[in-house]
Amino acid sequence: MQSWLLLVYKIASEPSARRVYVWRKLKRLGAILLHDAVWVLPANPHTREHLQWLAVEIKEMEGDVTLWETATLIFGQEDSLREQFQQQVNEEYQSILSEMKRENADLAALSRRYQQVAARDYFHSELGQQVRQALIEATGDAP
Amino acid sequence: MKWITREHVKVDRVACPWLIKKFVDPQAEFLFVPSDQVMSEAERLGATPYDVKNVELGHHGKECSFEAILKKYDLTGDPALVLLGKIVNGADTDNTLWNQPEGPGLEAIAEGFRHLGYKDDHEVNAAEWIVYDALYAYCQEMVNQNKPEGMFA
Amino acid sequence: MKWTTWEQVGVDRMACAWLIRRSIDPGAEFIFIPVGASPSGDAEPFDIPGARLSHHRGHCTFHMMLREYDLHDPILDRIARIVDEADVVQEANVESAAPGLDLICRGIRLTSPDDYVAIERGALIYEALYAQLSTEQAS
Repeated sequence: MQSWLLLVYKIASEPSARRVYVWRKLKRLGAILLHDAVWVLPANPHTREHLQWLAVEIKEMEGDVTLWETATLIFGQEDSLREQFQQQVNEEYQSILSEMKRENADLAALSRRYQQVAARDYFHSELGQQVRQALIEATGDAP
Repeated sequence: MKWITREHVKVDRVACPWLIKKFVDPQAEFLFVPSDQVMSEAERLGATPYDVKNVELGHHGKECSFEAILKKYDLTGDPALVLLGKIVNGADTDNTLWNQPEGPGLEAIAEGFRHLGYKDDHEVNAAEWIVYDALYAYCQEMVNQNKPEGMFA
Repeated sequence: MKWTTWEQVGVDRMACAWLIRRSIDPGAEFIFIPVGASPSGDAEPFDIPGARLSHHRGHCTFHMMLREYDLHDPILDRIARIVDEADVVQEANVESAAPGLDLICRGIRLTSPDDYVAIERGALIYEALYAQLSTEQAS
């Protein structure tokens, strides 16, 4: 059974740099915002620790924050959440695949992007596996 | 001196004991307790807390506890330790501060040690310090080769 | 059985030594010869240029060993990719753990009295990596 982390916070709108900082961290973790109010991530040791530290930072910025670990209660809610997480990474994977088709694709840069997306691919997207294979094969075995 | 932190150690909570024992307090005694007991036990036992929130030797902004200890105990004059701090940071945080490519490998291996069946955090630490000895040796080699940012800078 | 490779073991040789003891020959005896030397005697050479068990077509020796000994396991395959990226220059790097693994192995050799101790310690590192990758797979 999947456990989820919920982060709810409020930070003063000025200086805006603080809000942007928190928002960027959450986006980098691949968190999803529900109803403009609650950030969600699947719970695992990595996401737990990162969100706990982020909560500390928000408090240091004089914001209010609560962090929860929970289970879903509505039938279908978990599937719907997983789909949202999948969709988020799949969009990025698709973009990497398209770029690979271009001439002079910068494989090194695309690999780095792949690694970053893979780090927030919590549900092991199949498209992600395809991108990984495509990147590996793009070099090919040495002749 | 006694040093106390949360149980179920990961990256910082193995790196810091290694650093403390080797460079700060050779007689150090380490304690690992549930996270909600760290501060009360610290007071009760006269232990210095680290790598928990709201302590001097904890994360500050994007810096990790290892780096806080380097600063507090004046160890930043050793460029190899500074580089090691950046790598530990990369493994323990989201690696946006220093962007050290060495970070994720350390994170994977440190996480792996938790699954090897050690009895407790003391055993994990004892087994894992070879990793930090190794990393420190690598960092010293980098400094000697005039690459204080590491091999990939 | 006896196995031989060059001294000053690094990421690929440590991976191979771990694999040999773990899945191919638990009683393996290792013989380390000077870098550049030609293997002789009845020990099976690995990760020495020209040997059957060495780099082929851009892949590391560990990768070749999985093939030669028919060891198919998605986690070992992933480790092969990581060692590939750590040991052989690749155009695309899909495994973020590769640089860290490489330097930890280097550091292990630097801080070990000899190659025998180094491969023991290396084996622990690979056990940890294997355990972590298995957990990721399961989640």
